[in-house]
Amino acid sequence: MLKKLLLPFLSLTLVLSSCFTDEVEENLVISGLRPVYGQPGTLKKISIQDPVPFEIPGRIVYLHPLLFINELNKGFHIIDNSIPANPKQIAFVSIPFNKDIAVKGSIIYANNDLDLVSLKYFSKDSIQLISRINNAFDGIPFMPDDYSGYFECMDPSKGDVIGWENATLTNPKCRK
Amino acid sequence: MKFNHTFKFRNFVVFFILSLHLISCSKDSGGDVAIGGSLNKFTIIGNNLYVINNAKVETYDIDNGKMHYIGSTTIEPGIETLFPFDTLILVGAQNGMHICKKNQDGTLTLMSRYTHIQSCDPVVTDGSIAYVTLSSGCGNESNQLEVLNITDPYNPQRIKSYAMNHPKGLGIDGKLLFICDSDDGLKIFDRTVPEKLVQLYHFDYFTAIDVIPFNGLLLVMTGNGFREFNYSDAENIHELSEFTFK
Repeated sequence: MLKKLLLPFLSLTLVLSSCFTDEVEENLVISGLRPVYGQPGTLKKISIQDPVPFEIPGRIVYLHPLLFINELNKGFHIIDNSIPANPKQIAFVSIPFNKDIAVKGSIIYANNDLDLVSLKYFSKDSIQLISRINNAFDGIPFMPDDYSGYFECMDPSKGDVIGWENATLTNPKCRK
Repeated sequence: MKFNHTFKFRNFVVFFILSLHLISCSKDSGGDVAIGGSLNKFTIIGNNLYVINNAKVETYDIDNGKMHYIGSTTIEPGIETLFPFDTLILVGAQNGMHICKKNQDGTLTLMSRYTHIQSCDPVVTDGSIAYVTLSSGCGNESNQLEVLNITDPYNPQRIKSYAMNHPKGLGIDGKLLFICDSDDGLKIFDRTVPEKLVQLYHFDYFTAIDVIPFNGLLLVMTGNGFREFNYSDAENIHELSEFTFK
């Protein structure tokens, strides 16, 4: 019985300790990420542009005849599939830190990092932001998913985090 | 003469069942709602948008771009995919599958969990049978397709498991089941008898990641692009195009 209880407790402790704060040795100097504060700007900018090359294609959504293919953390490609024997790449919608989309009619719902946004698609040259719900998702703003290591903890009194930069950190308290 | 009658009656029954099926399919796709791949974390049923937020599935009312948060249902950490069917949402998770019911107000209620070994697993359903692929790499070495009976969504039962290479996304339409089996390609099964899936096709010359079946047109994400197939005639499923990412 004790063993049964002890194991989950131990694993939980391990998980918690590795995810959040770690005991840091005195004067640990290590490279990591430091928040960049400022007015929310470039990382919330959404635009439609000419097609761009695929890099890391992700999830897909189809509303005949348009195929939407996510480009991991960058936005999504739009393919005109009116002729399935000859699909054509027609546009790219740039949405920083985008991974997921859903589409109903001419409205596209997408994440822009931790925000949820809705966009109206008019044509391959025209898209309009309809609404934005800030921080609809829990997480660390604009932190790359694949980052693992120390970072300087965010300080809300300094403003909104608009990105991260590489830095040399002394005794960092936060770790991902 | 008698034979003829029987035959006609049988045709009628087949036609009737087919019609019912088509009705249920068109309802499923919701007309102007886009169909998502099986690996998606967002889905829409009617005027509700469902999104995975860590361990929760959250519901928004949507009206032509306006969004209104109406509730959250905690499932568990490690949930990965959402698949809608009628008023059900199946949630693929790292340790199993969860079945949720959409309430009148759009919020979700968790009906049941089907847990298995730790795995990465999308799920699709036709409302009575659910298909889950398990692939190695999320803490296990198992690679298989699980077929579950969810006629009673409160009590899902395993019907059978089928060995696979490294299955990822999957899709169903009518009697066909499409499995993306990574570098072993695309496999298409006749799923008429869940206990005895019959493999009809094996396109093994590309890597298959995820699929969307849509009215006889199959979109397949591959490692370096996507391919399209015409499956409107199950006897003659053939490739229409290949789009390579440049």
